[in-house]
Amino acid sequence: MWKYFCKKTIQLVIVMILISFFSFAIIYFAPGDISMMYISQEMTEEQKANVMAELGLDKSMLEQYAAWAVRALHGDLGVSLSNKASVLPQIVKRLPSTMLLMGCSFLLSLILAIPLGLWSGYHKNTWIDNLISSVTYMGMSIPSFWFGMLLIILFSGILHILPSSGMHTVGDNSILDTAKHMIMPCITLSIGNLAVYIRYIRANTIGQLSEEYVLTAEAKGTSKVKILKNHVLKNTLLPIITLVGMNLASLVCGSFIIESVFGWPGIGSFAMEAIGKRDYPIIMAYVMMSGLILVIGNFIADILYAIADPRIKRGGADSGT
Amino acid sequence: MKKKLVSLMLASMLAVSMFAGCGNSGKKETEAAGTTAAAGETEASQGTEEADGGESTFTAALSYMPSSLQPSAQSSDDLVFAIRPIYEPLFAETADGLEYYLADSLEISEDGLTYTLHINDKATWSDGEPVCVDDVLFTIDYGVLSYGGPTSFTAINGAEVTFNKKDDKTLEIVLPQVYDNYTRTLAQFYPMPSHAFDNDPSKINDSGYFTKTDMATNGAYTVAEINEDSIVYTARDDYYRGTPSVKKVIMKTIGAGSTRQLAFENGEIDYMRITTAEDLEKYEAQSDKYNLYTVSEARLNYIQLNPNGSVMSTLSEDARKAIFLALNDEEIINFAYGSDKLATVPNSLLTPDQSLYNKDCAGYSYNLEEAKKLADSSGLTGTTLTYIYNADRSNMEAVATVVQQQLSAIGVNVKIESCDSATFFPRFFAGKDSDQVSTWDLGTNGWDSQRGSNCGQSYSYFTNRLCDCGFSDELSGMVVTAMSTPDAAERQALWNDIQDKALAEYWEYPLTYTNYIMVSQKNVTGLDSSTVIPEFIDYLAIHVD
Repeated sequence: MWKYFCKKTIQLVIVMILISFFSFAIIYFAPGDISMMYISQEMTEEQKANVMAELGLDKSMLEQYAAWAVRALHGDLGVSLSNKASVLPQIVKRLPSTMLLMGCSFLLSLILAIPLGLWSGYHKNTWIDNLISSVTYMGMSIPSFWFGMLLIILFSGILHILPSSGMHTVGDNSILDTAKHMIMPCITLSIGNLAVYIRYIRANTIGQLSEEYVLTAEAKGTSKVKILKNHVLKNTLLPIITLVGMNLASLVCGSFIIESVFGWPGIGSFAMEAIGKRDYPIIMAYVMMSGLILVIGNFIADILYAIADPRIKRGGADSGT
Repeated sequence: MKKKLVSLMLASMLAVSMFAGCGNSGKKETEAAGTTAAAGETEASQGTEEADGGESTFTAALSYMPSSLQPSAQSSDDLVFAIRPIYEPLFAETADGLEYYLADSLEISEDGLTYTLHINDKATWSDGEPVCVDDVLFTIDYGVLSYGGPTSFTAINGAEVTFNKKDDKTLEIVLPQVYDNYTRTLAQFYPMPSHAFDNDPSKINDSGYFTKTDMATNGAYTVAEINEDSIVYTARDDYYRGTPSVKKVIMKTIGAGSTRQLAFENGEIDYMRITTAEDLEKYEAQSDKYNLYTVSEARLNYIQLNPNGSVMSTLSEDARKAIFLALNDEEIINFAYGSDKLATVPNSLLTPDQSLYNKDCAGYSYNLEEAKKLADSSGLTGTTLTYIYNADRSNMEAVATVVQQQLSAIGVNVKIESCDSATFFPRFFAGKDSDQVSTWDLGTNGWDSQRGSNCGQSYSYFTNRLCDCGFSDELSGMVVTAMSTPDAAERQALWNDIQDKALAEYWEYPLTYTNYIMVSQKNVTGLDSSTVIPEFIDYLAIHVD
């Protein structure tokens, strides 16, 4: 297990170095020059050169990358070009909003997907299965921003029962008010994940129901519900670990589109704003954070998978694959 | 298993409520001293008298939450809009002259070199300290520190501007040469409180001062709350210009796209901007529910031909003339704006909001036959020109489409490239030694805030100072002479000639003068009291009945 853990850790470090390097390179070669924000028409050539030197823009890309990496390793993600404030506190400030929204949508998807996936798989090819499958296909196909707009038109524009934007009503600090603001973005975010999870769980349920242990349980007279709950469910949820790992990044990094559509004050809309202004330190911090968490999420998923299924850490040799 | 399921459910519920708790705990910054938020307030009803206390509230939309309310960091219209209730300029330039705010006079000597600025004796910061010359000098020093060199306040054409503090409220500014646009430069100046930083501008960055509710303000309001998605301002009772009738201003983030329109129609916000003829017609038809306001944006949208463009650089003046004669500006406005209430046909490269504007300037006249002849004779026919536009600006995509169509009539292919602001400006203003300078042949941009007694941004263009706009040395010389001519009549005569000469060189095509149209709830008035855009500079004029 330790060997497996170390191998995965080394992979994680290499991936992170590659992510940071390529992110930096993309920004370095992107059109536009950040020095434009610091250089005025009234400056002499010498003064302009001093500004370039102060910003570190007179150095080669590798030197600039190394300087950035050293600072980042010390927890200094730089200073925003647009508001001249440190990047890290600005990200940390927006983290709770994003985690609240993404966490709730994630929980909602999971809570709904498990019974629906099991039910759909158990009733394979019946009208229930077809109905659930149709809904999941729609969920996977509908663009989230469009679905979000539909919800806004229906619940805010026509029915007037939910607020169209934001996270709070000014002056109302209650959990209920936040929950009201969260309903539409949460549903919009959940719908895509929900559809994917249902498809996975359904497919696994169908597979597990044909296993011999299910036949044995049936032969022993165990009820179908008990078989689903006590035996099939555990095995069905294994692939969900991977999906959860992959979703960990979005939990912290938010959603560009949904946060913008619903005016949710999270990391996603913050990053979107930074991209619009080419605020490179913020973009770089965002890319690194999402990359790091995605990689860590997958790393945790790999470890959990190895714990849950010991054949994996043995490289599949013992499983006959 | 049942127990496990119940435990799982309980844990999930706990997690959700913890998340919700997190959201709320970080929600509100502390209340500013002397301000009270109405307790138990419900969703901004806005536009109505508040039931709890009878105080009126004005609610407006923001596209995103500003990271800071620092008045000198006006990097976007949203930020300018967000700081206007709390920070004021020294004065604003309008078509009718200067509108004074923190300053109450600006005297310019006869030779045009000495500016004497006097700050209103009654102007104070919200913490009781007077607004004084030290605040102005402190803010200028901060600009120099941030840039790492001279700024437009401290140098003119490389020569230093001298600042002499006469007394706490009077500042004498001596220019190294006559420079008309210095009034415009001062109009963009928003002082910061020097006393809050011990007069040390290096303390501003990373102080977090402008992210907290107890920041000292000099405008009509103070900051009461900074929430995750909204800012609440409350009226000052010691504001030097009077007491605002609107006691609370709320700015809240509203989602992108048509969400803002929906929020307006639901009464969540009190006003919004209109940019299409369909919306204008819709709200005009509901005049019993809404008020409409039209303000000149003092903006000139124009088409620039790039003298360094890969194709344009090979073409003659006749080719440029052919392009301009092939453009039908009325058709462009009809298609792109749909109404002459949103935009009108311009006749000059200055706007009617500038006193130097010449209403008799002839402009360009559409002449397709002449354009075809010139296109053929100049070798323009059959060429492909790259057209860039800023997709973040209203109506620019539609303008590009019509221009493409109109130029096809003289056999010119136009390849349209859409850019966002961050990509557009470095490309449009690329220096001669930049790789990007030759990547486009024509492009659309706008000069905003072209109002007052100065020539505005035309100076930088006509003298090719900002980038190479193609104008001749002769025109540049005329502009420099006009800028340093103190006699008003003589200066006007020169500018009349400059406006004609600039058009005769066929580098810039005046496309539209635009209007800024707003629609508000019926009980909101006074949104057009000041003609300064981005809105609103004079909050005393806004009333919510």
